[in-house]
Amino acid sequence: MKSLVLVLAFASLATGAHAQDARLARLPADARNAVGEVIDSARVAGLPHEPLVQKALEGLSKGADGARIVGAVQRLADRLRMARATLGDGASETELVSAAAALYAGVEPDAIRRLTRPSPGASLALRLVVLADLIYLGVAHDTAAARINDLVTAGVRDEDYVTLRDRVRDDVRGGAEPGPATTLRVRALLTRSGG
Amino acid sequence: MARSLAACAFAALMCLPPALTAQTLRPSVSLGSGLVPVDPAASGGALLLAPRLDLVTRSIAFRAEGRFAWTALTAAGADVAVSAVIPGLHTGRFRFSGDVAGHATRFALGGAHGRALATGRAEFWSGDASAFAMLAAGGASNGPSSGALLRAGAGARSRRGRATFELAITSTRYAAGLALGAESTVIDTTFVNRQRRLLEGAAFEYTQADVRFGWRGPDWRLAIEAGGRLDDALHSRGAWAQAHAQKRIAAGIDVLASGGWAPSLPELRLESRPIASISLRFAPAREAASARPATNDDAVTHVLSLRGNTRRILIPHTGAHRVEIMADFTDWKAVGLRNNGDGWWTVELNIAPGHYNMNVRFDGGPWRVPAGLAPIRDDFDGWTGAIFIE
Repeated sequence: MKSLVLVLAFASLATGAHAQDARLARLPADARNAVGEVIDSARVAGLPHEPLVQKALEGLSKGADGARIVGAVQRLADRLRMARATLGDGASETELVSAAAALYAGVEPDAIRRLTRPSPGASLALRLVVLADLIYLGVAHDTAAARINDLVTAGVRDEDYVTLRDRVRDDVRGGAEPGPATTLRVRALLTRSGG
Repeated sequence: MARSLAACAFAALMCLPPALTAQTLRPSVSLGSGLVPVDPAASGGALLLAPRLDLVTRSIAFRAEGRFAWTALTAAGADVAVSAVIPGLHTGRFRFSGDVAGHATRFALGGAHGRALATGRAEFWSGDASAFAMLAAGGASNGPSSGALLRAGAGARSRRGRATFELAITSTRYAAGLALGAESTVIDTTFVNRQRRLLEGAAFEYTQADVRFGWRGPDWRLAIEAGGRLDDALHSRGAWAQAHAQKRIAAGIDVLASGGWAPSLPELRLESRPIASISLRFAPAREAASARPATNDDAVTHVLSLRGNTRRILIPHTGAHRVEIMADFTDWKAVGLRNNGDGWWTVELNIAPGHYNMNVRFDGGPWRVPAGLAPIRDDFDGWTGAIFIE
């Protein structure tokens, strides 16, 4: 019985090391192998690998060549790794992906770390997503991180983060400056919530 | 009970494909008149009033509606019309649909003159397939179909791309249905529908088949329905057909028209007969109460949670003939959306909570960032939109 377990465990490791997602079969052979190695490496490190598969499929659908796809997948894996280092081993897959997106938006790891303190009623992933969204709307990194930090300190709920993002987006579409609009909207939220 | 048919033509109008259901509160009222079957021995004009209130949130859809007809009766064969304004018909229905413990559930309570019915239905989805069970109980206190009604059944649905196939079996009916949705066109057909009914306590059976075609534009809808009965000894007219049209004539005001032949219901001693009605529908608060901006210039992409992980994605765009998305949750394969007819395109997909990237394209053009999503560089010389689904 013990030998059977060992054989199964070995077989599992062996297939795990070379297992390739069938969805990647459309990639050129070289790129498929390279992407497979990145994904295997992420899997061994306990990082979410589905985003890596999706990044490869995205490149494929958008007509990118193999080298480009491998580079994009590798960079995403690096960001996920950095997200893990920033958030710690207890971070969920969604939190890691959101943190990786925030890093891609240019947020410094320290700024992300400051947002990780517990805040009842608000998820870390959503805070990070809204932070990245504000930056993409044109808000300066420091300003966006500081204002989200204000909301974390005040303990506002998930829907307040979404409201902030939507309001600022509407303001910017209406011609407002992103930074001042964010500051005003955060101030309004804090006033309403008594913070 | 036969009087309930007085509202059939009007009800058909109200059953045109519903407008976009976003998180919104939407009252409306319809007012019209027409020629409708009223009584086994008479037909006549009717004044119809149908207020309706829709409340749709992230997980439930609630509709309260009433239909009221004041009928000017004309006795068949009489030379002199005897007209009176009488409260000829009052029907009411309560319907709830939403998620209960993560599964689509629907309850309905209905009643008409001399008739009451309660139905419950629970549907369990797994990916693109579902199974459902239903139970109906009620009774009628007048007419040839008097008696208690107890009906139980089960069925299954499966979605494959734009096609939905459904099988349903109840204690009085079994049916197979197929619906095809292609952008602004919908084909909805029931190709087998075997029913068992009661007449004066005696059971009889017949097979019914029907097909419905629907077309939608930015401010109009058109539906044509046709059907017929087979193997029915009671049947005097084998086929029926109706056409329904809806056109927006001003902000918040639609004109509704319907005409054709109503199905005969020999078990109710009703022959097939012509119907016609024209109504105005007012929905003044639609834009004001909607959670969505009213125009596409301001509209943004929405994702609504339905049942379990089933999400409805709504993309705003007018003027396109084809809208597709591809995203992390479609394995970056293009998925077509259905034109909702009011400037919004929709598709329902199974999406777990998470952080995703998504692109959209119109009429086969370049892939773009969906309106309202944060645009981010996609590593491939283009842009994608980030979306977070809770």
